Amino acid sequence: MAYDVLIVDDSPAMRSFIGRVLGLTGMEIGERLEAGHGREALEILGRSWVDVILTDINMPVMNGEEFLEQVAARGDLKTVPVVVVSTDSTGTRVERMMSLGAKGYVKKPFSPESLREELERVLEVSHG
Amino acid sequence: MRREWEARIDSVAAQFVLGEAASVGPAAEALAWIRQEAGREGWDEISRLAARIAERMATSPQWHTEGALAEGLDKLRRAVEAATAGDAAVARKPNELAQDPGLVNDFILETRDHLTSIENDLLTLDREPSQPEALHSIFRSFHTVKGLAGFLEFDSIRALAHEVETILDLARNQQLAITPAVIDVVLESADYLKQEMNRLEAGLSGAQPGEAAPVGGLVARVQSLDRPCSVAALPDPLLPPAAPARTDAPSSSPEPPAPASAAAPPPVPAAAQAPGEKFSVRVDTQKLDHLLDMVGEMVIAQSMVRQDPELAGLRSPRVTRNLTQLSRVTVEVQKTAMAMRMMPVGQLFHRVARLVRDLSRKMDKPADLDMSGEETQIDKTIVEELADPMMHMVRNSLDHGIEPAGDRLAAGKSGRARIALRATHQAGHILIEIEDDGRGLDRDRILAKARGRGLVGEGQTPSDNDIYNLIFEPGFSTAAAVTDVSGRGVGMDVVRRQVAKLRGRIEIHSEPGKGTVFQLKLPLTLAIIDGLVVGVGGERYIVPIFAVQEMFRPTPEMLSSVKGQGEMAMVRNRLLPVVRLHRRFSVTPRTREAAESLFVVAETGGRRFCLMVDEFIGKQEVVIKSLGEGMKNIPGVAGGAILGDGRVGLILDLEGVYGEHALA
Repeated sequence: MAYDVLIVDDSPAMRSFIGRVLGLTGMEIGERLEAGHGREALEILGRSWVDVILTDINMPVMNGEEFLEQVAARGDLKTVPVVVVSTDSTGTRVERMMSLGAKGYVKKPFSPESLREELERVLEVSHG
Repeated sequence: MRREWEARIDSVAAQFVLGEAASVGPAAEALAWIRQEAGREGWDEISRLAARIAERMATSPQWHTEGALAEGLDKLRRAVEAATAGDAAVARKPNELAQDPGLVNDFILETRDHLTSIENDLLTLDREPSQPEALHSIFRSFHTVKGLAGFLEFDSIRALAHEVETILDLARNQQLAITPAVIDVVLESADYLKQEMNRLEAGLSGAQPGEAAPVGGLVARVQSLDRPCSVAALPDPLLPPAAPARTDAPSSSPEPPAPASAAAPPPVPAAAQAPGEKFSVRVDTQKLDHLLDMVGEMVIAQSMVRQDPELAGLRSPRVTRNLTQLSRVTVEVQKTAMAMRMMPVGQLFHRVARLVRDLSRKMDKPADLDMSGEETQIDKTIVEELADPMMHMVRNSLDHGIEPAGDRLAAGKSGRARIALRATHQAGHILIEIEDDGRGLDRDRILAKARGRGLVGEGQTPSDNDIYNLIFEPGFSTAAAVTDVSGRGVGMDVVRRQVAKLRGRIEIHSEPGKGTVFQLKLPLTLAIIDGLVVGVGGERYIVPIFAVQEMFRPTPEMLSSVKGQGEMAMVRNRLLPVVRLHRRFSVTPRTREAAESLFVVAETGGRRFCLMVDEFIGKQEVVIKSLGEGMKNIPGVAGGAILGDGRVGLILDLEGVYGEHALA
């Protein structure tokens, strides 16, 4: 099954970078949706099917924390895992994201392998 | 590898148990190592935390008794443990992303956007150091660039962006004052990034890009900004004594005193958040120009249909109504297409602001810059082409116009000079003014020099304004000493020529002791020209209206022939050369008798002359069409235009028309 992915980051170049690394993971990727901030992401989530979300933390309009809160508040999105993608490597911000319901975390820059590992973990892909 | 990290943290911790015998030296060294290595790994929080701990140790005399510091160290240890646990094992692979020209190009474009806003924000900070929003925005920009560079493994860019980010983070937390020295180094870092973008771009277009420029020195300088620099020991010559680099009153309070909480950052203004909500599309300029070209064709086709005699013969109200609707829509499309080429003149102003700042420090002439009308829209090409002339004029103002601070004070002026940039709309034109409050132009010296060069005859007594405008003559420079800033012979004549090329005019006004104003009058767009359509024989020519002074039918008394200068006409007590347009373009005119023809007095590059034509057809806005490669360089012709009746007219380049005449 191909996974539909939503990439949330305010940097368009970063979105294409992430998209490219996604392509290099060897995973089967279906739709690749993009949003520049949390609010835009919520709009997309309202109208498109998404299997997994990759989100930045620092963004204008609606940042990653608020976005996670909103996602958590919506029952229909409970099954959509969120992976935090950020340059803030350690400490409180990531911890806070996890406590808000993020399922995984990768630090920018990341290799296709580490992204795949994290995605497979949160998507509970079984290696049969 | 993890061992090494732990060893360093242990060595810091050891100092805490030594009590009175504790020494800050080894601890600072270990922390500096942690900071640097964490930076290299991209573990920013660790790097910043280490910097903060080091900073606090350096500024607090009783640091070894502070529980808060010990706690901070514990936090650092936990963070390092977490970071070294996973990441260390991941081996690096050859970077596939950096091999993709599309991604690299995305990176270049976005970084350049960030660089523009970084520069603007820095100049804001330079004026108002306590502008949290500008500071925050610069921080975010460097943060994003760092993240992107990390993916592409552009290590020098990443390392530099990381260091700048660290410094800015300290400033955000009120632990470092924004001084001119800080701004200088950050500007320099932005320049480095700019240079790297050019190099990467050259690489994309097939050139051998070469290696990244060395960044070590710059990185070290950025780092040195936040050395717990005992300001007393290392006075920075660039800093006014009243503004020490940091507030480091010996105190055991965790934060430097008060202002932090007193000046709580105001809520983020909505405007600063706008970029995320406003969507835009990047379009290749060539595509845009093609669109404009096609819109031009459409306007002409539309007017040909409207003026078609067969259609007019139908006298059908429905056809008339539909044609009116068509022309309304066409005009709207044309306006919209034109607007796409427009950009705010502010971009240009900000470049000038940067120059003023750099030069005023370099020349030690403190100057403030006022800007107004930055949002005024003007053709993109004009903004680009105007950059050099503007820079040149401002350089001139600072070099020759503005006096040294001492002289200014002696003259009863403020020691800080003021330079103003203004842009305003004026009936189809844009007016840009550059004003300084310097010593003004030296009328007598210019006149003496002009007489010496034979530009002004001995008997002539030109008006002050005419004298001032002499500085636009080729090779005219009165600079007593050639400085490395200006006075190298490329003079104001180049400025005037450049402005004329943009179909603009430049004027200068000056008052001794009070200052000088340069006024640039420019068209709003280069795609359309407001022209006077004239006829010679069966041909149509378009004279740009901004150059037309007056039009009349000459009387025989006005005409004369001066030996060596050819035909002349006396117009308002001035003897002006006559250029016969039919001769210039070898066409058969309706009349060769000057008294039966019509004269257009035109001005170009400060000179006036009479253009002899058969008839005036009217005033018309025409869309300029390039004539294509074959006819591009015909002197005297600036382009072609299709007139409302479907005929082709040539747009005159007056400089060329007159130049050929002068040579003949």
